[in-house]
Amino acid sequence: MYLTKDEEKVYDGEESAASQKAMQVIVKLGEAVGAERLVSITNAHASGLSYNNIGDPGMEFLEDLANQGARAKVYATLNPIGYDTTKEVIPLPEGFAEKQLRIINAFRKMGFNITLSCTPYYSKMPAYGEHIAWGESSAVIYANSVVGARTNREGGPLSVLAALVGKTYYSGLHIDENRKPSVEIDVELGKIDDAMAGTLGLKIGELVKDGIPFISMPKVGDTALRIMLAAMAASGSVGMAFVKGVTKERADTSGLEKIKIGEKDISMEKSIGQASELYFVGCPHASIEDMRDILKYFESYGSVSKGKRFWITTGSDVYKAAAQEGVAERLMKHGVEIIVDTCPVVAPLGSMFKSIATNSGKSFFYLSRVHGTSVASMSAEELVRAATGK
Amino acid sequence: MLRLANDGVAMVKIKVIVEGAAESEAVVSLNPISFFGDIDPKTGVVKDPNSNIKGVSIAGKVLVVPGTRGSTVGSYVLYALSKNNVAPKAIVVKSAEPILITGCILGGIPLVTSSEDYLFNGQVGGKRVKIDPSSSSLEIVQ
Repeated sequence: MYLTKDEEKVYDGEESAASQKAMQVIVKLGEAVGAERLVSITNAHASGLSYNNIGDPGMEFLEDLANQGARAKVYATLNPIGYDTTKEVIPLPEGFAEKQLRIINAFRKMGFNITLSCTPYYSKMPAYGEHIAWGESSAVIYANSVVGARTNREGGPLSVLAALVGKTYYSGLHIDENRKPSVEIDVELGKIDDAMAGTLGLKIGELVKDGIPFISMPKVGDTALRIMLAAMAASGSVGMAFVKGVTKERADTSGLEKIKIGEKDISMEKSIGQASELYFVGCPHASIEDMRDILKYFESYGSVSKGKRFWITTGSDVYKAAAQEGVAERLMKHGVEIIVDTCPVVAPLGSMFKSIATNSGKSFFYLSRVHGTSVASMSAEELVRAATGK
Repeated sequence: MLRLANDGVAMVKIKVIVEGAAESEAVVSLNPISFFGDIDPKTGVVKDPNSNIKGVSIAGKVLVVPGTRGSTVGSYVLYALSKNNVAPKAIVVKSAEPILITGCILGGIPLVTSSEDYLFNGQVGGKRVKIDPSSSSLEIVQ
């Protein structure tokens, strides 16, 4: 691989032991996939920081890195962890919070922003064409498809190490020639609400797998768009989609296989919705607009019924904006619990809920797999109606 | 190809992925390993109940395994093995995937690949092997 003089210095350890290690990993992985050079990044988003997943080995590695003087060279954010650091929502195993805090403190020492959210674009929106290194599949597909920034689906360690050198290897979706649709998807549906967008996304992911779809569909809002993209990144390993009218990059669809998706291809499990114990919005983490919309529904339907719970999960930056605006307080007055830093998919919920209803296709996909919960798919408005008994 | 030199030493061509020389006893796992879950990061002992080397320690050995699989946490386990002084001296695989490459660099563990089936079918288990990155070769000392 070709390295610039400055990159070589880091590779040879002239800067620090920590950045040398990070650079060596990036170069070797790049060589393994045939990358010819590195690319400078402006933004990194690290996944793989839940103590639940990385355990003592991961915790100790991150602490050692921080103690060896590793520091993020670019703006860097963090994915959600297993619990809300601001209040107790779910009971945690003994010692869990203490070790999770050690992990967070290591990242703090390395100069990461302790955002703990899957929506880093609400903390800092990358510009069109910017090269970034993001973990978290839903953020990756949003960045590539909606923002027009460029990132591969980075794994846990690499997204951390890329932040420490401000580079990643130049391959995959960083390169123009690879940002091309591989299949055309024609969506023949009428109005698409958020829940339907999730189901549609799951279907597209199953069909496309690791390809890049060109999707023609009725116009949807940002919420439905984010839910659809997150879903296809979960059921498939889609890193980028062209959505007609949304994606700014040009696409040549001539000669591509065309798949039609109609009503009959989209099955929705709504029947158990009324019986759900938890109603939940915020996968990916809710935006300020989502929270305003949900408040509107509660203001017309009433408050959460006794014995039911309604969660909104969001990032701490969005929460701050919602608190400032008064939206957060008004939602809580209606019985809504606003939870930051985590979400039902990554929290160790265990058997806390037998049935959950959500507007998220990604959560629909993971909740039953991770916690064995029965899951219903409903739009945000339907969720509020069911939770308030209207 | 395997060739026997006059002094009874077998030489195998290797490709160096992570630099480093090593000489030790070979431990051969017939099936791919997930470092996360299959190996105890504190002792280097193989925990996988279905492994042909269950209960064996890979500490200080040359681990020969067709490939690796599983979670990205595997990289951190390789780092932990090194930190706890129970890492293998080197790892030989048929093909190296990102989790393994990352872990070997983090842990400072030499990593090489070889397409020589003979290495992976169990025959070299217990034999002394020597990895020489400068000549891209692995010697089996009979």
